Amino acid sequence: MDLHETNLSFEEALGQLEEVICKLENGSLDLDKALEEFNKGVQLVKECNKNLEAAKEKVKIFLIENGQEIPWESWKE
Amino acid sequence: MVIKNQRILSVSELTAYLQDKIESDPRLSNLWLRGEVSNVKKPASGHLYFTLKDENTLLKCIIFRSYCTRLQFQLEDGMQVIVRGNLGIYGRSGQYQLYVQEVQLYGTGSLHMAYEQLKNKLSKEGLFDAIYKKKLPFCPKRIGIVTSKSGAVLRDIINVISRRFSGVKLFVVPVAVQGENAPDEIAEGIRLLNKFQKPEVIVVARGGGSIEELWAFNTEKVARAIFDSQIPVISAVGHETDYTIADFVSDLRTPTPSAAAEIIVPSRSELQERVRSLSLRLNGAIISNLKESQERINSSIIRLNNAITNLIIKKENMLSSSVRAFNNLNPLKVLERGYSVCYKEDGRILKDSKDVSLGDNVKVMLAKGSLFCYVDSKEENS
Repeated sequence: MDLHETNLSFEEALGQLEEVICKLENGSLDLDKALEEFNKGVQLVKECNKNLEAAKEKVKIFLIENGQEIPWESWKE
Repeated sequence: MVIKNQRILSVSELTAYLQDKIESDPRLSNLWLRGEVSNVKKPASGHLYFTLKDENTLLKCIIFRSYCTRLQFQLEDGMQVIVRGNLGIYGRSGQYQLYVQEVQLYGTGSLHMAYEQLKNKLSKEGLFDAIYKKKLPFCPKRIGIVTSKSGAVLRDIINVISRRFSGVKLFVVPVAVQGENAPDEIAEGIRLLNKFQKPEVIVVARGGGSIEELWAFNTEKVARAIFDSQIPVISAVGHETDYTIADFVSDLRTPTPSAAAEIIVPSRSELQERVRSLSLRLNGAIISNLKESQERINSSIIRLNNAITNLIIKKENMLSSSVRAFNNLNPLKVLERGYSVCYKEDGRILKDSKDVSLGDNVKVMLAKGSLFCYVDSKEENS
């Protein structure tokens, strides 16, 4: 498993973040529940940003030849 | 047996002779023939039988199974075709027939016919139905690409992905995208990715070209491989105006390979913007939640203050009335009204004249000041 394969996919993290915000914007939560949701939201934002950081890494390209994965650096040539 | 010096042949001998005669005639082998197809039959043997005819004549034709698989389209009665093959004799039925190796459509192109036939067939089978279309992943980290290793297509895809969302793994299965081996290689590429690398999405791509050059993407092999893929497949074949069978059966058709790359990965900067705006909304939401709680606290404090103030006032009132009542009981108040208290020398209050003797000293307390007196005489009331 590589570094940027997190438990939560980017899409899931974004979806959950939107849910949290909607709950908070509804305004029907108790304060302690609201703070709990907020903390969850902060974690999700972190998770999203982590994904975006991972997106800065270079594309890794593998050629599949004769059943093997061969790292391919020279695709530009 | 010989009759009048005449040699008598068996049927087989004659047939063999004719066979030899026909087969050795260069004009009867590898000949091209035009006619209308009728009476097409395909028994379990896998060979294809039909009749080629014109207004007056007909010719039995057979296509052996091994050649059938190379046919670009299905023969149907009434088609005008050109066939290539060798003439021969089938001794067991005493028929001469054409052993066909190649069929082309006369008039409209064979490829167009094949395209329409396959499209109709697969459409009837339901391979293009919307219910089979898989949802594409939002932000795949593993992407499979089945295309030619050389050429601009792969470079374009890699460039676009690098620009938009670079932290991904690309698994490239290099295949022939035209020519005889292309359909098998493309289909196998899709199967391999499904089996081993298991990317979240597969792109099947090729640059623009003529219908012949794009042909692999109009074959049943490729169409079935795309349909059978457990992983969503995006087709990116040719130019915007080219529609291949692969396009119909894939989960998403994109007009060009770069367009496919744009669709597969989201733009990192757009996502960043989205996360930022969500983060702002999150902060705004908690602040308004806190404000609301603060307001509730504030109003509670005010109510609490009011309640305490009221309580204090009430207690104060109670206290002052008690003080008043107490004041009324104060003996000094009585003295003010003109009464006085008389103490014996030992400090006891005198209530009876019998308790003092003549000559005792007593203290008389007035509202203001006291008198020290000598008992000169006394009266004893009963």
